[in-house]
Amino acid sequence: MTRTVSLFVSCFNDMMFPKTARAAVKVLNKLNVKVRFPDEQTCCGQIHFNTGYAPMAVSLVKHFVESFRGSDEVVALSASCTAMVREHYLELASRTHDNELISRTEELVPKVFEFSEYLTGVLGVTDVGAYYPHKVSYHPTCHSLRSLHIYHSAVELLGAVKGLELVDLPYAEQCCGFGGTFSVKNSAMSTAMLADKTASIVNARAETVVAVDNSCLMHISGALRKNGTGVSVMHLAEVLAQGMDGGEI
Amino acid sequence: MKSEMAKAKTGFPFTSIEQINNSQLRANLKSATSAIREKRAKVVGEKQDWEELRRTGERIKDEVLSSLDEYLLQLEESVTKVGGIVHWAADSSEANRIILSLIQEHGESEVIKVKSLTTDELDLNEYLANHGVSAFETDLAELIVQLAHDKPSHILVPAIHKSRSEIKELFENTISKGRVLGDGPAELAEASRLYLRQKFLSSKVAVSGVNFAVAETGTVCIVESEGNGRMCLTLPKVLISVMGIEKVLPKLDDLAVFLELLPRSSTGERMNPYTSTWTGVHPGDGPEEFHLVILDNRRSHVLADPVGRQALRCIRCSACLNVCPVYERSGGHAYGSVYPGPIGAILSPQLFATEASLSLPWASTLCGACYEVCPVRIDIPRVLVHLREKVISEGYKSKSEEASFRLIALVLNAGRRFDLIQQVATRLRRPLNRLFLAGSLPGVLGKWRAARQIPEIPKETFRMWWRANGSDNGN
Amino acid sequence: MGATMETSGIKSSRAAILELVKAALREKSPSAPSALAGIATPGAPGTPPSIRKHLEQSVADLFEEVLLDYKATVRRCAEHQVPSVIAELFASQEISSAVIPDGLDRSWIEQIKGIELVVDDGFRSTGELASIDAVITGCACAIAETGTLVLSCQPDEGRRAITLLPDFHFCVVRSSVIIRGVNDLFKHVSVANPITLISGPSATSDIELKRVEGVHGPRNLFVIIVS
Repeated sequence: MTRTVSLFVSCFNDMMFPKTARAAVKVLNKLNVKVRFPDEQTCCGQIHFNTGYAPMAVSLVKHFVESFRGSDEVVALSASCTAMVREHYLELASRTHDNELISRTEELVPKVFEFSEYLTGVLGVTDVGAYYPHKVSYHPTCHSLRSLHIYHSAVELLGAVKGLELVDLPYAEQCCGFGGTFSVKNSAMSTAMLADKTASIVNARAETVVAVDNSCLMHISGALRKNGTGVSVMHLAEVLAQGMDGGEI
Repeated sequence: MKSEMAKAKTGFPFTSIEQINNSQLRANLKSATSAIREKRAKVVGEKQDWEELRRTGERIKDEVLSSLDEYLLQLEESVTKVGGIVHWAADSSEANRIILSLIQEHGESEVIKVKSLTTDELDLNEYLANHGVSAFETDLAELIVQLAHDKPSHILVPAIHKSRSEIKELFENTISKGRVLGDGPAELAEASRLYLRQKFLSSKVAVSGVNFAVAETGTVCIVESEGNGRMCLTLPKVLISVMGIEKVLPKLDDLAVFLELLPRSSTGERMNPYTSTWTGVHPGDGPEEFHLVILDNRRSHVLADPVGRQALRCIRCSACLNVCPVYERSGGHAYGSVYPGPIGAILSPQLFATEASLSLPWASTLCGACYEVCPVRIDIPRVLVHLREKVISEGYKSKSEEASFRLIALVLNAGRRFDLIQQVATRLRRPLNRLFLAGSLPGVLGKWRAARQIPEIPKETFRMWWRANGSDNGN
Repeated sequence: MGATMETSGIKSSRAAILELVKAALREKSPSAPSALAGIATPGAPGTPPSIRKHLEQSVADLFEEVLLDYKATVRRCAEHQVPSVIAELFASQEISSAVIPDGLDRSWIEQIKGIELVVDDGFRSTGELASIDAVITGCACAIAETGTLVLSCQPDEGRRAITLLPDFHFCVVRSSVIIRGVNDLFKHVSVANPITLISGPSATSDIELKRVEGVHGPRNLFVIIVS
């Protein structure tokens, strides 16, 4: 094993979607990457920052930077959390006027990668040897598409999965309507956007919708299940772990 | 009162509900916005240097804002030199007073108007009406809105919420009384042509907005499609143009940049049918008197916010509205402002700061589609988040929400604490999952479940699994 | 977010606004997060596909193609053919009167038959101009990429009202005056005169975003490109 990465699973994956994180460990290990899990890690602070509680987010920034201090590379399992780190951490750290924190943040931010971005961009891998003989459509979540610009990474990785048929998702670039606290603050609007997104998904006739943000997928799958559509959702890492040695994850 | 804002029945979450369920509006907006998105994509794709143009547009506007006082003085000097008269209005009431007194000086009781958001912002028509002056809107959509005693719902296409059959009926009851019209857009446009022709030929005073004003030459520019603008700018004796302080450009070559950016972003055309420039008064051609009213109306207040000020780069193209998934489902009226959509969500709370407008920074999922199409690269999501923080820090917040966020932050500030809470949740997962599936749920969980199932809490968290398996999983 | 600004009775609004603006500029703006921020990912859903074909066309060809997109009528001919082309176009329409600017090349209109022709002396009332069917002008500058006629009140273009009120506009454009893009427009025209950029006939998309050619300006645009 030549590389060691620290895994940032993100708070809701840790609690609600541990199988995404287990899948990511499996895929990384298969690619000869050793995984660390700094157990002080919690949350990137995005929900506080985006809702308007930036001062509270500052303390979480500090906590994140401390938790991952000394990591060679950090792989994050959420595009929106990665975008939070990349776009806002330095500014939030600067608010403390704590020079040590600022320089540690400066040092850490460029080492943080979203999972699919890490595989294609850093490791240069597109075929991880996965096998998943199903019809899949890819929903490019907003932060992965517009903040991280990693649409092509995810699509190339999916394209290399044996047996997988990638079907077009109409209006793919439109937001699913999750938006963190938007989903409850503007619940009627969120529901309207979600209805259109699930209608597109059903029209695409895929068995599974794949994305790189479990937060958006939780919202989408909540409606797909409530409406009995029979379409499942999966984080990209879980698709890439399919068909690998070791059976169930 | 302040802390109860979140509960009050005002603001976007409530004003949008009726629109969301208006099937006619939803259908109109969906077809209109998808059509215009496609048109924009085609003409933007043709410009190989589009991103460079956007950066140039951004740079010019930033340059203007960074020395705005100097550019305004230069503009005043240039306009005066070429025979124009410059007026300064600190707020809407002063602007309205200036415009009214200019109209009254010429003894007129009617004026014709070119579509102008700035005069909508001033409520100028209502003010003039209260003082015995009738203002006639000449842009087709503005005419429709005015005849229907309605409000604009889109920056570029103010009557986007009206269908052709509604417009046909409206015209039959107003400007085409006693006639039966078809509902074809061409026939309806013809009806407005007939009605307005006489107004154009007889009116002595016109009021317009300003798209761009060039400081070095005093040249003013209006961009339009129908020719109503040309009529208003050419035929009357007196022209009164109102501009926000942010509309000034340094040089003529800067104007050329915006003539590339604006039509492609706005109507999705390579160029709009008509663009007019005039440089003061031109003897023998056009108005004999030209007044330029320079309006602040809290724009200087927006300028004072280092993050929020980029909203002043806006050239009112409406590209952000057309790509916004929220706007597409709410229409413009839900925003309660002359500036709807994403740009309105950052402009209205800063410019007007009404209680209802303070909910607008949250009327977005922060999806970022608006930023990508903005011809002057306004980072709308960034400004939205900034304004959320600002609104909360000024006391407009829900106390219970703030307390919950404080508690969540406390838990998340230590790995051990988070682990402990997670362990409690996994132990209680059976009753919790039953509750989530079918129990009675108050608050945010209830709102969530109204449209979506809540995922089940798994039997172990990732960190629990890692403690047991992490070290022998190939590591 | 603060109360509405009180206007001071003592200070002029001019001074007050300038002072507020100056004060507002003290704090600098933060810089953008990254070089890619706000830029659509090429090839991703929703991103405009890049179209390169226009780059290889001659300015006259491009100008014509874009004008046709606007539903303008376009003819291309040699200098000596202008009179017959104009006469032919006139004959194809129901036109009984036309106005020309004083500086128009009179040979261009020699072959038009059976219409009342007036020369604008600059004093004709708008009512009179509004009752005339057509106008014929030259054009000192045009833009290929956007199909734009740039009228700046040259002697053969006339004052603004004559190209506005008649319903038919015939415009003769020498291909030598066509520039490729908008970017150096103001190197070719002076703003000392009023400028009107005309890109196709008057149009509106205000009803259900359906484009209708022809509202208040000339509803019919004929462009004769002279090589």
